Amino acid sequence: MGTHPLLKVENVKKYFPVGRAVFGRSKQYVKAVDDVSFTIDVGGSLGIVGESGSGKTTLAKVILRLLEPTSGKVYLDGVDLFSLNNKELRKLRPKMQMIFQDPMASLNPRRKIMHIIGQVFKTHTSIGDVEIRERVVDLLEKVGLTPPELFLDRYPHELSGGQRQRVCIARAIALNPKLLIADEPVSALDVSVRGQIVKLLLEIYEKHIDEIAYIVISHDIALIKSLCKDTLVMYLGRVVEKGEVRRIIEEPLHPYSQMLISSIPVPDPEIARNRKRIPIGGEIPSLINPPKGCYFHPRCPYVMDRCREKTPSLINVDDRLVSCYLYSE
Amino acid sequence: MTNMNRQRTAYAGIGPLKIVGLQLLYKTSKAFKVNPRFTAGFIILLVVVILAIVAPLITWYPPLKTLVGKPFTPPVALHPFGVDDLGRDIYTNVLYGIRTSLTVGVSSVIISLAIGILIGVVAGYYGGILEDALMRITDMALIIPQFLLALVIVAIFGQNFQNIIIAIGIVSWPGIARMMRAEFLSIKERPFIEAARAVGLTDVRIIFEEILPNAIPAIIPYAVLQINTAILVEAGLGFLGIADPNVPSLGLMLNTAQQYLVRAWWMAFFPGLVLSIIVIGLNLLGDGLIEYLNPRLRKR
Repeated sequence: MGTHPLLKVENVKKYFPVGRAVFGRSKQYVKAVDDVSFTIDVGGSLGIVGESGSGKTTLAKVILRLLEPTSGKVYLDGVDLFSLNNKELRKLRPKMQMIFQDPMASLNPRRKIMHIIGQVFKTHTSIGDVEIRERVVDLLEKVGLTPPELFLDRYPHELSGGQRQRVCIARAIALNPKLLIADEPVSALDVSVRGQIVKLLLEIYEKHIDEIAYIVISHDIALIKSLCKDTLVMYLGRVVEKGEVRRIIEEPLHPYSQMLISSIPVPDPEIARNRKRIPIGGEIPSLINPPKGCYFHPRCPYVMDRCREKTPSLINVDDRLVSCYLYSE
Repeated sequence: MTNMNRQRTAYAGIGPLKIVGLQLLYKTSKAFKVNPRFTAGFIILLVVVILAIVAPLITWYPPLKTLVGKPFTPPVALHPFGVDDLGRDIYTNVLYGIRTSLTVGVSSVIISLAIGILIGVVAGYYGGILEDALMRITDMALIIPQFLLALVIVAIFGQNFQNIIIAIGIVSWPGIARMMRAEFLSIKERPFIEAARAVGLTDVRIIFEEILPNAIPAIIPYAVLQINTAILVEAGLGFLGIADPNVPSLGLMLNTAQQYLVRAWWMAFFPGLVLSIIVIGLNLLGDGLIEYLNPRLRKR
C-alpha cells in the first residue's frame, strides 16, 4: 500500500455572498467552509461528519471544483486543481468522482441506464459502441445489478432506490477514479438496502485499495465508522476535531464531538440507561452572523471566557487534532 | 439470499409494455381516456390531415384552374362548394388550401423553433451578459406586432410562398426563446446536471443530451398552438391580398369572396368553415396537451 498523499487540501474557504448593496459588493457572507485543511494518502479513507449546515457537502463540491472556491488550494496527485482551466479540469474529472446524496435526482430521468453510464466512456475515451456496451455490462455486474442486460434499457424511474444508487456508483467508478467522494451515500435509501450499499462501497474500496482514496460524507458517525478509518468533525464550516474514527467514538475530545457521539442511539437499553448523555442544547447559530470566538461556545457546557474572544486553533492531542481551549496547555 | 432478491427485483416490471411502440400507444390511449379535449382535437386534425394528403384523389379538377364551371354557380353535385368568380371549383381549392395552411403552419413553426431554441438555450445555459443581451433583443422582438412585421417582410422580399413561411417563422420565435430560457434556467440547477458536470461531460453534451430532452416536452403544446397562430397569420395575409397567387390559399379565397358576399355566400362560407375547423382542432389539441402534460391541471 503506497502512502504518498493523493489529495491535499490547504486552507480551503468558500464564502457565499448574501444580499447585495445597491453599489459595490455585498458585505455579508455565509462562511460555508472556513479554512479547512487535510490530506489523504492513497488507500486512505476519510469521513466528514457534522450536522446539516456544517458545510460538508459544500466542502466536497469545492474540492471537486463543482463550486468555485473563495480561497485555498487543492492538490490531487500533485496537480493544483484550482489553477486548471475548464478544459483541463474536464480531462481530469474521471480521476475524481462523486456519488450524490439523492440517486433519483442525480440521474437524468429521460435517459436509459445504458446511455447514462455509456456517455462517460463516450466523453473520455475513444472506444467504439460495442466495447462501451461491454464495459457498461461489466460495470453493472460489478455493482450487483444482475443480470445486467435487463438494466441497460431501463429508465431511472423503473428502478428501486437501491438499484439507482448502484447505477450512480457504477457511473462514478466507470473510469477508475483515484478519489471517490460519497456524499450521504445511503441517507436517501430504505434502511433495508443501506447495508447492501455500504457493503458494495466497502468491496469496491478493498478491491482498489492501492490506487483509490475515499471521502465519505455523512451526519451519521456510525456509518463513517463502518466505511472509514479517519474522520473530520465539522461544525459551521470549521474542523473541530480530526483523528481515527474509532478513537473519536470511544473518547471524543471536543465538546461538540462528545455531544454528537452521545446522540448515537444504542440498541442495548442496559447500556443506554447507564451511558452518560450530553444533550446538545440550543440551536445551530446563524451562519451569516456567527458568534465571535469559538463557534460552538453558545452551546458548549464547558464554555470559558477566552472561548468568546478568539477562535481556538487545531492542536495535537494524542495523535488527534482538536480545536478547543480545554486541551491547550 | 440477497442474490435471489436481486434476481426477483430485476425481472419485475418487464412486461409486454417494454416494446416502445406499444408503450407509446398505451400512453396516447391514456391521454385520450383522461382528456376529451385532446381526443376531439386529435380526431379533427387527423381528418384534416388525411383530407390534405388525399386531396388529389378526391377532387376532380386541377387546383386554381379557371373556368372549370360557370362562374358563381351555387353548390351542386359536380361542384359541392360552388364555383367562384373566375370559374374555379371551390371544393378543389379548399382541399388544396388545407395543404397550404398546414405546410405554412408546420414549416414556419420549425423555423421559429430553430431560432427560438437556439437563442433560449444559449441565454439560459451560459447566462451573464450574453443572456441579458439576448433577452433584451427577444423583448424588443416581442413588442413588435407579429402580423405587421410579417406584412413588411413579405412586402419587402416579395410575395412568394417561401417568403411567407420565412416571414411568419421569423416573427414568432421570441415566445419560444423565452420559454426555452426559463426551462434551461430551472433544469440547469437540478442535481443530475451537477452529476453530469462531475463526470466531466462537455457543455455540448450537457445541453443536448441532458437538458434539452427534459426541456422539449414543455414547449410541445406551445408549438402546437404556434402552428395555429401561423395558419391564422397566413390566412390574414391572404385576406389582405398578400399571398402567392400560384398557391391555393384559404385566406386569399376569403379576400376574393368579400366583394361577392351578397351574391355568392358559398365563396366565403366554405373556406371560412374549413379554416375555423382547423383552428379549433389545433386549439383543442394544444390545450389538451397542456392539460395532459401538467399533472396539476389534469386532476380537476
